[in-house]
Formats: sequence, structure tokens, C-alpha cells
Amino acid sequence: MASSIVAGTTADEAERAAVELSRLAAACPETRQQGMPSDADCRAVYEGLGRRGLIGLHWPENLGGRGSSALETIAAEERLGYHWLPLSSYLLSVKTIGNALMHFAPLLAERFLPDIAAGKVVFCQGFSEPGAGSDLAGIATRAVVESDRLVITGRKIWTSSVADADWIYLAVRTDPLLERHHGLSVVVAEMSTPGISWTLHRTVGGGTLGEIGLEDVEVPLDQVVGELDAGWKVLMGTLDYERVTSEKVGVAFYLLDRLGELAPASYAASLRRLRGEALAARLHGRRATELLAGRRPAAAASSMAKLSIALLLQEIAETCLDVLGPRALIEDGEAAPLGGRIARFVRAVSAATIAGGASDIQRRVIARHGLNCPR
Amino acid sequence: MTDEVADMLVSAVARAVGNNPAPDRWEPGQWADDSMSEQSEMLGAALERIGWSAELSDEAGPTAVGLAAVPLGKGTASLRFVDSILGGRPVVAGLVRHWQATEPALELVSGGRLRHLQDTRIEPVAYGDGSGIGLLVETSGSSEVDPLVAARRLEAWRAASIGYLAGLSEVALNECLEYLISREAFGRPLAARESIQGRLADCATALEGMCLLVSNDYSWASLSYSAAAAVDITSACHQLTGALGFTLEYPLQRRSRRARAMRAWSDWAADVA
Ligand SMILES: Cc1cc2nc3c(=O)[nH]c(=O)nc-3n(C[C@H](O)[C@H](O)[C@H](O)COP(=O)(O)OP(=O)(O)OC[C@H]3O[C@@H](n4cnc5c(N)ncnc54)[C@H](O)[C@@H]3O)c2cc1C
Repeated sequence: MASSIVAGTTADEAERAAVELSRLAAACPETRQQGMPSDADCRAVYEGLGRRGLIGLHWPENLGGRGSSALETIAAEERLGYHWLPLSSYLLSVKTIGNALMHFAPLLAERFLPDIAAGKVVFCQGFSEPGAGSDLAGIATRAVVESDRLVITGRKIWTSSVADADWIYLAVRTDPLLERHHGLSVVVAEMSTPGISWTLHRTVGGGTLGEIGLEDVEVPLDQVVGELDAGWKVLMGTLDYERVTSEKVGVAFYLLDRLGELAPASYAASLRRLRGEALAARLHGRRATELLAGRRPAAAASSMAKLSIALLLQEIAETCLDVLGPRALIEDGEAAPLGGRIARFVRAVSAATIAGGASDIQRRVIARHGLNCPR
Repeated sequence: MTDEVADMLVSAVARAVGNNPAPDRWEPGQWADDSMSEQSEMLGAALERIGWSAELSDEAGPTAVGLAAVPLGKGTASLRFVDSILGGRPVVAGLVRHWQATEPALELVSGGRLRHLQDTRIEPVAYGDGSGIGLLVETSGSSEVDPLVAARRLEAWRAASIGYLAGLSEVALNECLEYLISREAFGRPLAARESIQGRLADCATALEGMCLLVSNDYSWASLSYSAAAAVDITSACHQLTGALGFTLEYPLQRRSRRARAMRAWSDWAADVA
């Protein structure tokens, strides 16, 4: 329902592109079993978005963007999610990493954003490690400065889009003697750099997550994002962008629209309440986006955006089961509701409150930054 | 049946399950039937030897059956063995479990009755749970199961289902607890965090409730609640085991998918009955 979003030419264009690209997506074997568009990958769709000028809408024209407002971008992203496009590489390359490069590393932004915007380069994000997930400051991957380069050794895990990625945005420890939150740095490295290897873990969502080995990986110092040893600020800023998941708002509205058609009248009240929740989640996303665009503190607002939509998606999944009963879980064939999309979504949705920072961590940010609760 | 005999039944089932661990062949989007493995057949044979059948509840009563189903849930054994207690495969919302199996297809109909469907044509469908789900396409006729027998069988089947759900939830929660005790974050084990302890306490309370229901009440309400509680518990475990719990290699997903399927089936069955 196009009427349910901010009106605007870019959103309309995104709507049309999404309809076209969803055909490409349907032909993409990696996305076949994926239950959550934001976790799915399809290089052809990414390139298609790039060709249509829909990547980095709000970036300046000289960096490949259109100079649209950040709000227009999230309205467009909502349409992409509504049409169930595989968006993992888009979200990482644009929302998370591209935006952070613009914010923290203008030179790297000049170098990478035009290629990202054209749909030619995909980034993945190497933050989590076997020993550090929620506690990002606990990362152990070491990077040692040797003349004009960093030499990196360690292990990353749960890396989305690793198989599609050309570059990785890596969090590393550059000074182990400093307090945990200091001595961290963020660097970008080409995936083909000697010493980088990866394997895949399959997920119940129907996708894969990478595990990356880093052995004496040499990266030039000019690929450090921001300042050496001052990576914590970059990481936190990066996460603020990542947490505005407007494409998931699109997913929620899509499911609510379809449930409205499928559900008996007795569900009208619960669907209405869920729709109201989706409207609030969308506004959370807009508010956080405005704060980020104005370079104002956005930690609590972006955590609220992330928490609200993630919880809502899980509620919608349970409602799908209530409404459709045992048939909700049919994954394929004519008897499968929405061609199996619901069954796939239901098994993928537990990750909504884990990926990009667990809901408990969002709550902690909201309590501390939003409510000034004592630590 | 004396407590002693019930205890013996429980440990016999536990031994059979322990000796024949059920492999998980389910994959996203694929059709799978966990009763179609050598281990599952051996488990079936072992259970048959200890008299695990619809007639068991006539002698042993639903409590013993419910308690003895707990180890089946702990081992995420095939639901075929829960359905043996019913004397056939339940047909709910036009779906049947273990579509290739030869046990009677028993449709649940209003008034808590059972109808034995004849000459069924069933087609397999890819499903979120590896129970060999099939779509009932055709049936040429049916005969009603004696209402008294049906009521007794259904009661024992509900007891077995509740027991299975309790066993499944207990193992999921224990595995999660193990993760939280060994996982250090922010300078201490995750299990030491009050907010996490709160959630674990909620799960433990729900689990204890299911265990109490197993030996006391096998109404549809008890089954509906137990299935919902199993979904809540396994969902909490997903949250608390983070990305690891989301992988196919970690056993939680198998339990959570089954809990969710059982919730959908139990709720619809209860609505019909
Ligand atoms: C689909 C998916 C995609 C992902 N993609 C990427 C990626 O591209 N790059 C990347 O670097 N990582 C990625 N991750 C990893 C993700 O960032 C981590 O899973 C997440 O940060 C949680 O870390 P963990 O899994 O190690 O869980 P843990 O840190 O072990 O935590 C387990 C659970 O404990 C709870 N918890 C933790 N700390 C606290 C606390 N202080 N208070 C209360 N409760 C707490 C939370 O509920 C949490 O889920 C992805 C994960 C998923 C599931």
C-alpha cells in the first residue's frame, strides 16, 4: 500500500524498482529459503538497485548519490522491504558502513561511496568474534602497526554477506594495554587480501553467516576509519546507523496487509493494534534518522527504532500462527500461505532481536542514554 | 498403576531414547520426516517391546504415559511415538504427520470425537517441522471411533504431548543455561546478570508448571498452555543464546521449530474438539 508511506518521488521510484527487482530476487537461489529480507543476499538485486540509482540516495551527487534527504532514503528502504527484496549487502554497505565512512572518514568515503552507489562494491562487517558478541569492547583480534601498515590476526564470526563481499569493515584491537574501550580501531580491508579466509555456518533462517580467519593480514594505514585507537566512537556511531531498520518496517506493513486479507474478522482488533505499533515503529525510525542527519546524539532514539520494530516482527509472527494455524508452517507449494513466505519468516524472526545488537543491549542503551539511569 | 511401575516405564522409555538418538534431517525449505531413519525405527521397536501403544494408557493411565513421554521430548524423538498413544496420526487442518506411515489417519472432530479416515491420499509438503507433514488430498470414507475409546485415547495423547513439550523445554533451557554460565561478557558470566536471571526464572516457572500439569491435568487448556509455554521458553533460549542458537548446528532450532508446530496443531485441535 503505497499510501502508507511518506509520499515522495524517490519512494515511488523505489516502489517501481522493487516490483521489478523482486522478479530477479525470486530467481536468486541463495534467497529461496531465506525468511528475512534484511538477512538475504542477491548480488543481481544489489547491482540492479545500483543501476537504478537507489543506493545511497541521500549521499551527495559527487559521491554517487542524489542528495535526497535522509527521510526520503528510509521511505525508499521501507518500500524495498515491503517487496521482500534481499537487502543484507545493501544494508551493510549503505546504511551501516557507507554512512559511517561519510561521517568518520571523508577520504575513504570519496574512495568507496561512488562504487557502492553504483552497486559495484559490497561490504561486510566484521565486529563479532567467538569470544565477543554483545560485549563488543571485548574483541581480541589484534592489529599491530608495522611502518605504514597494520598487521591483523584474529577471528571474526557471524559475518553476514561474507560470500558476496568485496571489502570488510573490521573492528580490531590496536592497543591491548589501554582500557577496553580505548585502543580499538576500525579498518577496511579487501576480502582478497592474503591471510583472509572464511567458512559458512547455515542458519535456521535459511541463510548463512560467515566465520573469518585473519592471519597476518596487511592493511595500509590509510585504510583506518577515523583515528587509530579511537575506534570505539566510530563503532558506536556505526551502530546508530545500523539500528534504524526501516526495511523491516516495510516487512511489517507487508505482513499486516496480507494478514488483513487472510484473517477472519475476529482478528480485526489485534491487527489494528499491530498496525498502530508499526506506525509508531516507523516514526521511531524517522526520528532517529533526523537526529543522525543533524549529527545530534541519536543512541537512545536509534535503539528505540531497532527495539520497537524487532519486537513487533516477532509479535506478527505469532499472530500469523494464530490466524493461519498449522498451515502457516507450510514452506512451499499451493497450500503454503503467501507461497511459504510466512513459514520462512516465522523461523527466521528470532534473529530480529539478536542481529545488529540484542534487544537487551538496546534496552541498556535506552536506559542509560535516554533515561540517564545510573550504571 | 503403582508409582513404582510408572517409574519403571519412565526409565525404560528414557533408556530406549538414550540408546537411539534421533538424527535431525530437516533443512530450510525441504521436506523431512524424522521417523524415517534407522535410529527411529530402532526406537520404535524398543518402545513396542515395553508396550508403548494406545492400549498402554488403558492399563497404566494417562499420568504414567505423560511422564513417560518426557524423555521422548528430551530426545526430540519423532512425534510418531506421541501419536502411537492416540492409536494413529492426528489429522488437523487437513494436515497429517508422517504421511508415509501406515498408522490410521484420525481426524479430530467436534465433541472430542475421532474419525478414522479410509483410503486417504496424502501428499508431502515442505514444512517448518520435520514430522513428515502431508496434505490430505482425498479420502473415500470414514468410520467413527467409539466415543468412549476416543475420549480416553485423546486424554492420554494430550498427556503424552504435554510430557513431550515439558521434556523438550527442559533440555532447551538446560542447554541455554550452560551457554549463559560459560559465556563471559562485560566482565562476568551472562548468567550472573539480573535481567537474564529474571528471564530464566520465568522460563523455569513455566517449565515447572508444565511438569505439574503432566501429572495432574490433561485438559485441552493444559495442552494449549504447555505448547505456548514451550514456544515462550524456546524463544527465550533463542534470545539468550544469540547468534549461536540461530545456527543449524546448534540443537535449539530443532526444539523451537517443533514447539511452534505443536502449538499450532494443539490450538487447532483444541478449537475443533
Ligand atoms: C542474522 C545475524 C546476522 C549477523 N550479522 C553480523 C555481521 O554482519 N557482523 C557482525 O559482526 N556480527 C553479526 N551478527 C552477530 C551479532 O552482532 C551478535 O549475535 C549479537 O551482537 C549478540 O552477540 P552474541 O550472539 O555473541 O550473543 P551474546 O553476547 O553471547 O549474548 C547472548 C544473549 O544474552 C543477552 N545479553 C547479552 N549481554 C547482556 C546484558 N549486558 N544484559 C542483558 N542481557 C544480555 C542477549 O539477549 C543476547 O542475545 C549477526 C547475528 C545474526 C543472528
